[in-house]
Amino acid sequence: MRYLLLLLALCFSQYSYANNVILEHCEKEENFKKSSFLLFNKGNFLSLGACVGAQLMERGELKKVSLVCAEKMEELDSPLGILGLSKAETIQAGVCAGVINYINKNYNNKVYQCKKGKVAIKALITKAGDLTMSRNAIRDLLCEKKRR
Amino acid sequence: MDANAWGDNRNDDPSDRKFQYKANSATAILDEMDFIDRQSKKLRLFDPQNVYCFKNAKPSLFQSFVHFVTMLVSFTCLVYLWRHFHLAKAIEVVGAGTVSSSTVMNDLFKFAFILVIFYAIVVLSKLVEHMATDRYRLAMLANSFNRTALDLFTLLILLWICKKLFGGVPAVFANGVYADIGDLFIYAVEIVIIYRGFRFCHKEVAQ
Repeated sequence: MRYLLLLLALCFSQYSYANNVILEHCEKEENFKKSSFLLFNKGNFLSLGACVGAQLMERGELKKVSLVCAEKMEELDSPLGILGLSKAETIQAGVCAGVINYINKNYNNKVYQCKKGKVAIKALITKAGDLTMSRNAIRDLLCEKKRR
Repeated sequence: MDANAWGDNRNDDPSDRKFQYKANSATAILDEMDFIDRQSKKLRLFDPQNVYCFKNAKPSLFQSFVHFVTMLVSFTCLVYLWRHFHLAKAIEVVGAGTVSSSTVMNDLFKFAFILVIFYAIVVLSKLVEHMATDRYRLAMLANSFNRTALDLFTLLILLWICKKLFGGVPAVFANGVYADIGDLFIYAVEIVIIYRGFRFCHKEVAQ
């Protein structure tokens, strides 16, 4: 019996994906260690995602914006709440929020007027593709020049 | 009118009728006993209910061997299904490395599946020694595993047929809110199948 239980435990045990590579800046900023990936803390994962999104925007290495923002929309709309979320989905939702925050922080000034919230998310889902996008391309999707 | 004209005068004699009834019922009882005897010696592979029903009949050595082999086969099938569908899949998130993409609901149901099977096995192993023989336990366990594997494969084939009918997974259920609700529904069906497969392991054996 004991050996059977051991066998079952071996067969059903999962891989652990704690071996990850986070951007260095975010690892320091959010105090995110490898061990933080073991447990699922929604708030931590969202803020890590936001930091990663802002960093990627600065470097201009952002990919798959529409997919990432679809996850954010799912996170907002899901009737199951946290039950329907995975770690990867939560980080992706955070990335979308980070992108929109970054645009609003840096470009929402006298020249431009930028979208916020669900309107911005929907605009990114429909218009942004899967390819790498520069800062200016995303800014043009979200912001309009004010008329004078 | 003569009673013999009908070729049958048994009904006229009460004692004769009684004798006929007794004879009929005796042969019927003999037939039934024969039937039960044959049923108790039958080899069962997907039928935990009847294994429980005929718990006093001891399976032969050959039957126990077949039980053992089929149990291993169906256990392997279950492990294959598990690895194929329920193992955590990692996806690449740019800027954060590879992260597990299994949802919380997924993990909870995995835990529930293992709990149901473990509970059944533990209860079966703790049945009173002189009430349940080892061969009964083996037969019950093998039947439960076979039944569960068969039902899960049936569910899989039904889902496959649905997929073919609709020409691939509909876009609504591929990703997003409705995908999670669809997952929840399938998990609920799976846990009912597993519970039903192993429910006769919980039953008390008393003679």
